[in-house]
Amino acid sequence: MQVNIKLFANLRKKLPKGSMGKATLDLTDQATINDLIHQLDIPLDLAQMVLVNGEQTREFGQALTDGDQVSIFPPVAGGSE
Amino acid sequence: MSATNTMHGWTGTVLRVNLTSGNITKEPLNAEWARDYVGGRGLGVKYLYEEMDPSVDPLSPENKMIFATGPLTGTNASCGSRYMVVTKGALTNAVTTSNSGGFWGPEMKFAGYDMIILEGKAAQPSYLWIYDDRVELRDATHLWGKTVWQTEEALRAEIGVPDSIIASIGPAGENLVRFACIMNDLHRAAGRSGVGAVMGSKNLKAIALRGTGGVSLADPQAYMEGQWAMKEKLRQSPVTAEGLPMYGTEVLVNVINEHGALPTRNHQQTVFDEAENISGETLTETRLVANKACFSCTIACGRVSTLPGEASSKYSVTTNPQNWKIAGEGPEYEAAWAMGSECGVGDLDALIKANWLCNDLGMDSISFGASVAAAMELFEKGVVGQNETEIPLEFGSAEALIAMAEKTAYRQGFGDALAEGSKRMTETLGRPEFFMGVRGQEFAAYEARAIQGMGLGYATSNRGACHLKAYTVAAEILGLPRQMDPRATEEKAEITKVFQDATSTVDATGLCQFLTFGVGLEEMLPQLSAATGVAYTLEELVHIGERIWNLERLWNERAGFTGKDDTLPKRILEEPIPSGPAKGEVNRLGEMLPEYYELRGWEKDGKISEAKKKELGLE
Repeated sequence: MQVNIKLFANLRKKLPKGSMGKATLDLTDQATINDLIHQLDIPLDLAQMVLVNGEQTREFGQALTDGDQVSIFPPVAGGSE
Repeated sequence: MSATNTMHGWTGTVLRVNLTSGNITKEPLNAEWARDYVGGRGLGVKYLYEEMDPSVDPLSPENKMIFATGPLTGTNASCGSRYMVVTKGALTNAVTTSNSGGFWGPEMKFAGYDMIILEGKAAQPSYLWIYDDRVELRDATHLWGKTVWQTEEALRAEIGVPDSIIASIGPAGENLVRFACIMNDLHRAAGRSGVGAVMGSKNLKAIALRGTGGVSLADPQAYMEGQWAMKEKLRQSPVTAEGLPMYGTEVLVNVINEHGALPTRNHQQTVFDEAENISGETLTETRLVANKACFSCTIACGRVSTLPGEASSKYSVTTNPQNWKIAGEGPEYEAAWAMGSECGVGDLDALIKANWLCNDLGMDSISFGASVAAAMELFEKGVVGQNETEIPLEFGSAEALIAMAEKTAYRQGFGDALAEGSKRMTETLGRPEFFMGVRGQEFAAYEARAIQGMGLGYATSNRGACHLKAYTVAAEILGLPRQMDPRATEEKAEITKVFQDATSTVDATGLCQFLTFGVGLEEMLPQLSAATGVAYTLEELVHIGERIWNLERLWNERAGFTGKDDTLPKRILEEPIPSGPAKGEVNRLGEMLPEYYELRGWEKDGKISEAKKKELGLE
């Protein structure tokens, strides 16, 4: 199956330059979020916010399905006067 | 330094300037209040509460302004740079506590003062020059009309002290733009609620400082142990050690957009198609010169950005054209949202330029952008047309955004309507439902329909809609300290109260709120106690935060606010989000507010109970 991924902030260096953090990945059927994070070589503690189709989840054992949109952010923050 | 100083952390001296009479006095800090309210926001609000009738017109001489530091301002504690401007907000008619970093607050401590209290109104434009214990009120007629950058340059040359630190207002403050801010160190803003308009109403252009003293510590060794322990934790936190220094606050554009919570086109949508163009990632890759720190800061979230080559002359401006070809600071996330997605503008260069303009003209970039967005909806719906606005105020128009910055600061044409802020503007034009805010102040960059706790935080924020009084986004989106479901209302009353109280305490210490992304009050406590010599406990610090929050609320009650003001616009409460990840959501304030009142120990109508006042020593 294929999933569309979007990586943000310094996780973008995990993808080729110029990809703007976007890629389509081939995964084995029944692959989970954990598998995806592993395949992308992202340390687990840097996968701070993981969204599947716009919904944040911490259930990394959850199986993905073909066509899913997965967004991954490292720990970040902000909001100033 | 003051001869009366027997305090540590605090200088022990308050400078009082009556602008009407020109009388300048120094008085001992009330030590009991200092212990109970710490400093900064807390102590400033206490003095304002004790000294001033909250019902006065914010732009009248009867309104007072307090510049307040905390006991850790000017120490080498990480991020000990903050000062607060405490006054009645020109935008809100509520108490406001506007916070800024940079180097101005520490310099005020070095000059020997915990607070500067301004009263009355000067007969002509004036500035205050403070060199340690020498304080002079000087004529500023020749500075009136100058922008912030021009003012700092001219004033520093006139004073002849190159390392003086200046806080000033720009044309927006002079022209009583209701969201005018006070700028220090060119780029740092005491941004919200119109503190710059209050300063303008007093005919005070600037306060220039030079201090050669320091901050006395009660127990230097214990203090140093505490500050090293906190620095070590900050070094280990991925947010304070890497995320904030590398990408600044702007990184949130994509975060919040991906969650379907980025208010867009005056909150008509919550996903912005062009978010990537204005994101922290794009800023970092294409326009960032360097990151930058305030005094004693170990995070350095500030952005120095540039417009190279053709970008420098893409949009014409008439003020200080030479500045636009080099570099300035920002935009921060909130500014990039307000002037970006909220106005439908996806052009980062336009945002950088508009942000510099806001800084140079002395306007809050949040309320400015959000007011333009409200005007764009008025234009879209045909309530106003080009006859009134001259420039087509279409969503997405970078040209309109930039042009309106100058027109607003100088109150030219339709800019005069914008200068009143979006609540007054939409009411005057008969469409108050297009105002997106609370207590007269525009929302910050988080959609309350998609992040339920932020709705409660906005509705109950003492200074009007604000993200800095209870940043529940940390838990609801960022997973700090733990992940909560942003769509749920359960536990939101509790976390909002906890965040409000803890933030009040942080704001009283003189430290920066961004520390809380890496550490908590428990890490700040040893430094505060060792600096002041007051053996605070963690419970006391939390209690102090609750006391500050309630005193602000009590001040607002006396200014005429009630529980009925703890609400949100109809769009947020009743119109479901039309599309995106949070499609179908409204804010369910009614599920959270009664529980919040109960946790606060207030009456069912939101009035502070007599028992709570007594418990906190408020009456």
